[in-house]
Amino acid sequence: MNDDQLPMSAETASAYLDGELDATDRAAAAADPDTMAMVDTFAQVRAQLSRVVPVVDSTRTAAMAAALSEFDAIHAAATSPTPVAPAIVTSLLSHRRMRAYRLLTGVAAAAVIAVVGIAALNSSGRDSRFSSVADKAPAATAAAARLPALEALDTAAATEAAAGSTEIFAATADSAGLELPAIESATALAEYAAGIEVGRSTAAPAESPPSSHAAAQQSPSPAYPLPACLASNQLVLGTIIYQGVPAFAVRDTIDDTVRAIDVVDCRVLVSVDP
Amino acid sequence: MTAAQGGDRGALDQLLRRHYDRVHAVCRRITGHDADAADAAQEAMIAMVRNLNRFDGRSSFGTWAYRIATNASLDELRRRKRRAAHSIDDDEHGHADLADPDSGRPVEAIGDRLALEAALRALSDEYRLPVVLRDVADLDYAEIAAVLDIPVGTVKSRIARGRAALAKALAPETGNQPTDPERPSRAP
Repeated sequence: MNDDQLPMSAETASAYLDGELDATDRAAAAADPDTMAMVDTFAQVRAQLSRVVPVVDSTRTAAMAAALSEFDAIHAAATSPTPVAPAIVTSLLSHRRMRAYRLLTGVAAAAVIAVVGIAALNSSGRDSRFSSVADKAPAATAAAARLPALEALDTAAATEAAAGSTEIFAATADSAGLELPAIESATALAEYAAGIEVGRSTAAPAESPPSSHAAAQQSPSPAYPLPACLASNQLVLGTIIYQGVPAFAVRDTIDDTVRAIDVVDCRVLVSVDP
Repeated sequence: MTAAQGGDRGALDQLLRRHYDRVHAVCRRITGHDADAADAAQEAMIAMVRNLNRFDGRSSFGTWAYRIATNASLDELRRRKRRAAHSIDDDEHGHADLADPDSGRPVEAIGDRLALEAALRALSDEYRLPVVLRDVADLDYAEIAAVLDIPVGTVKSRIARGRAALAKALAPETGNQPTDPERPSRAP
């Protein structure tokens, strides 16, 4: 079926019904009984289409509550000095912000641990004990300073680590990086995306996991911006570690492709066709 | 609208409440399922809240809202396909809507409704979406073209074709001789 096969009278009748004909064409259509019969037919179709079953009150109420909770969450986040999870509804937005925060904290902690570890190994070559605080502090602080968007908390932690308190970094890494799903293959990414969607479709609105919302549908947050490379048709499913690289799991709403996109440079790490 | 964009929760409540039923109707006609429509309409409402400050007033709020509702409905349809692929019990979901929630309506009306829904399901998205946006959302051709990102001329022909197909499928219900969309075009 293609548009060339459409009867002209059908298109004229349809446009007539919609008031989309100019005066001349409208007069010509009105003078043609076949066209007007078709207009009547289309008008009946329209009448049937517009008769929808009334919305159930509970459905409307639930939708309004979810929307207003989202509004509250956005305003709470905007007015709070630190990212906070909303009290009533754990929204997608808050999930993402918290994950971004944890991710950055984890990256900082990992960098500091690496610096401390290397310094310790180097120093063990000349001394069986850990090197002095003076040896390690500048390197650790510099490493932390190189990471973008790190908060003062992370820098302070880095300095503390340089002073020899390695336990705190183990704990930080534990609570940060390990929460992100580690995905090692395209198949696993597809399963992750499907799991997000299935979980979302069965979860109550108030418990929606971070799932499908376009990057363009984010409320911009200066502290944790999503990369500008994400287009409006790319839905962020969540933050993952893909083959050791922090990434956004993203679904393209046009071709349904799922991709892992590097959080730092927007590199497409893997692309999975639907 | 301005008050809602300015953070007035009550104004936002009013704005969304005013448009909810029509948004739900659009979602209902696009998805063809009550449950999917409820999910899509809720997602649309949340998306509207998130993007409220991006609404620049170049189109009406309704047009903007229906665009979001259309996208949410299409997302819901994609998810439904995935669910179907993941569950052999999807038939249960698919048939749930056959029981008319408005059980007080006459049997004849229920029959009409089922026939219409079957006819809509048989239409591909490219025809169903413009017809729904025209006849349910009441958008004009230019607005539909903007929502679907297609030329106005294409909107015009797809609406005509979609209506012709629906009329043909519903011929016993509409009582008129159906239009055959396969019939060759007349010479102008």
